[in-house]
Amino acid sequence: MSGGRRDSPPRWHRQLLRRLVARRDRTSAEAELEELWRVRRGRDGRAAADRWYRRQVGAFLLRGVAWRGRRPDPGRAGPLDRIALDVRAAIRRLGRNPGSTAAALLALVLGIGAGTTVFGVVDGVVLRPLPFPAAERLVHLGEVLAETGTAMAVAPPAYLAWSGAELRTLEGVAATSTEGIDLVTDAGAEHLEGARVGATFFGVMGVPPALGRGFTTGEDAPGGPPAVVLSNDLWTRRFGGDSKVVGRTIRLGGAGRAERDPGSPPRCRAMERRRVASP
Amino acid sequence: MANDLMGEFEHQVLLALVRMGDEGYSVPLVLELEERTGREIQPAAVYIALRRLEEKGMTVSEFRNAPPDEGGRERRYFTVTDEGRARLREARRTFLGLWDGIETALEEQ
Repeated sequence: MSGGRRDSPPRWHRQLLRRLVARRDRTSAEAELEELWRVRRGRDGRAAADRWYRRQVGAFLLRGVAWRGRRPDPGRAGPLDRIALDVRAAIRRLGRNPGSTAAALLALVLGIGAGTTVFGVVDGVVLRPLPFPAAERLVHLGEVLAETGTAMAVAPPAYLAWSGAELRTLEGVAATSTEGIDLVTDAGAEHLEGARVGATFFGVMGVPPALGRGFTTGEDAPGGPPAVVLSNDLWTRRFGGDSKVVGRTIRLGGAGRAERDPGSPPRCRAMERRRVASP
Repeated sequence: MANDLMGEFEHQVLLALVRMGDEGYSVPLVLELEERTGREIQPAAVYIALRRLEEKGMTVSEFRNAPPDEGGRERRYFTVTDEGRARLREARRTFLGLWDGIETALEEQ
């Protein structure tokens, strides 16, 4: 309250003091601090007296006068009392050097932020397993430019060679690349993050679609029949989780695509970040 | 015992209490200390000092209501004990002994 007619110390701080001070001291402490507030109001004005009062309530808190019970004596204090004394002493010292305190807090915040970020990366990349049944058997194949070490898109001949009949080291190879694509329905158009995958993709990853089927060999050939697999998110969000969507024709725009047949809506984490997969 | 030692601020509070007639409560004590020391005194610090002095047997306290013309609200009055007066005399002797002969060395130029 800061109204002009108020004839008592700041209400909130007065109530705080009342809650802090031990019962046997409560009435006298409140009355005596109010008496000093009146002296200061008469001498320095109400605004200065209010500021003084707020500082003093803070001092009651920091100095531990609050003491709902006995204030611990450093010489006789138990372990918990000693911790309380140390915390109060630390707060007082920090308050005396606001510049150093701000610098220390900034360093602490930056350190915690950096640590959290690094842990997030390590957790996602190293600690948390990939959402596939045999993630430890999955390897990523790629091509690198020898001169610079730059990662390159795998050339189709290389993919065909890796996945050919002479494949012995690996059980299977699947190709994938990202692709933006537009979904057009009666409710409107939506740009989606999609992936183009080979027919072997779902088999290699070990995550068969929850409904319908994956892709057949002919569907990933140039000019093959159009087909898509929907992510669980897209299926539930745009198609209401309707199982009859399997076999229906939906319109996917962009890149001169024709209508596609949604093969199935998979309920697997592998597809959560991609809304559609197409061969 | 370390617990029985009198801190500088406790010393000042006890002296102010004697100056007030061996008895008083926190409000005039704070004002007296501010006038004598020329700096702002926190009532919380006075509360702590008074409590420690009481724990060391140098003061005793009791709750009494203020006179009606002063609002009649409850106050905690502190009185200096014989032990407190003895400790002040002892502290004065100690300080005078320590100061003896060095006043001129510490005079401001």
